[in-house]
Amino acid sequence: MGSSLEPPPRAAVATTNLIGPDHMTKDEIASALRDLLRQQKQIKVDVNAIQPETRFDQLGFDSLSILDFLYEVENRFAVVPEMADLVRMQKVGDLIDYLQPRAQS
Amino acid sequence: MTWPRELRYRLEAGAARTLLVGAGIIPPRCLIAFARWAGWLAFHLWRERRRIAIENLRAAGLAPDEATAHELALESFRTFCLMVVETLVVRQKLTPENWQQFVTLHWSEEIRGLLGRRDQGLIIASAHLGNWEVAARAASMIRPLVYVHRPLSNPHLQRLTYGTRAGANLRLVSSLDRDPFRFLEMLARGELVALMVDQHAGDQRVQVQFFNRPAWTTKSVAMLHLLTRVPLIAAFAIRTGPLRYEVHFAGPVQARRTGNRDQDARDLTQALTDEVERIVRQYPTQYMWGHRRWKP
Repeated sequence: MGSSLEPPPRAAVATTNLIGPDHMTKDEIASALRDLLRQQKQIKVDVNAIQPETRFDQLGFDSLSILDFLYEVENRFAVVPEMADLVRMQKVGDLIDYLQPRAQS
Repeated sequence: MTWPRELRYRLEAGAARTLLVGAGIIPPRCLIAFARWAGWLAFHLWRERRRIAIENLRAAGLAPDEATAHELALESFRTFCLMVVETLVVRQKLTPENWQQFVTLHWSEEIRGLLGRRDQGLIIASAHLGNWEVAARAASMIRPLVYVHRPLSNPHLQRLTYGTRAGANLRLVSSLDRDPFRFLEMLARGELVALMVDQHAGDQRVQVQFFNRPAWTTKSVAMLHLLTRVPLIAAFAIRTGPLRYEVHFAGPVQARRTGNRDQDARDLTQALTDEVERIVRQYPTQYMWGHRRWKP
């Protein structure tokens, strides 16, 4: 097929489970996620009112718009979740829990 | 819903139900002759679609004059009616044992390997060319397939056609599905997920070049691949004769992530659109030209 593009690296990102001094706290991650959510035009709720229990469908995401958001999450936190991790992230808190040991500030 | 629209919807559904019953009792040869006639009739009665088809063929540069565009557009209408009728026939005939009598696959060893890997999902991009319904049904004979479709505006017809289009290993899921993780879960389960990449898109879209003209196109296929890294291939089913088809595969597409989401989605969608254009140029009468592809 006519693309001269290379496969995306899955391994070339921070995937350690160790929590070191450079790792972000949950509050820092939540704040960064709120910034990302503000940029998503389909968000139908007050971003400041989002709780860890809030599900992504309650935010206004559907099966296609969530892809944009997760792409930006990968970029922002330099993580590449496996498929199994992605489908477990039903709530905002799930995403924060996933990112916390992996995301570096 | 206004009553004239409701009446129209019910008439359409009634006609579809009649066709469905007819497909079970009328010999395929007669049905195919009927489909060709229905294509001719639709072409002459459905003026708006006819105009769009002729304009599209001219704009694509595939018809040097009005007469040729008229001829190609007529054949395009016939292909569409044949697609509908043959899909009804094929759903009764195609089985896991005999499907290769009807469908020939043109694939590389790499694609054969990807289709054979039941532990890994696979994204299939396709277009409204030849008989895409048969392509989905044939692929579902290899592995369970989920076909992402845009629901019809006629709810009666939608209910009726859902049962007709789905199969034992073939599920239909609406592109308007509200569950954010629906497609990701399907790919995580190792299913084939087929999506169309050749329609005008109102949202979740990027602008690409199709026959050297800007065309708004869904970026969903690209985003699904960019996010999941699940292999992405293209597949198109060409009709080669009565109830006979060739499925042409291309890819897998290799995509790069630069961090610029819109640019990445555009590059990948353009690569897929180039594949669609390449095969449409080969089989112009098998493409559904009555769609406003270049709508602003």
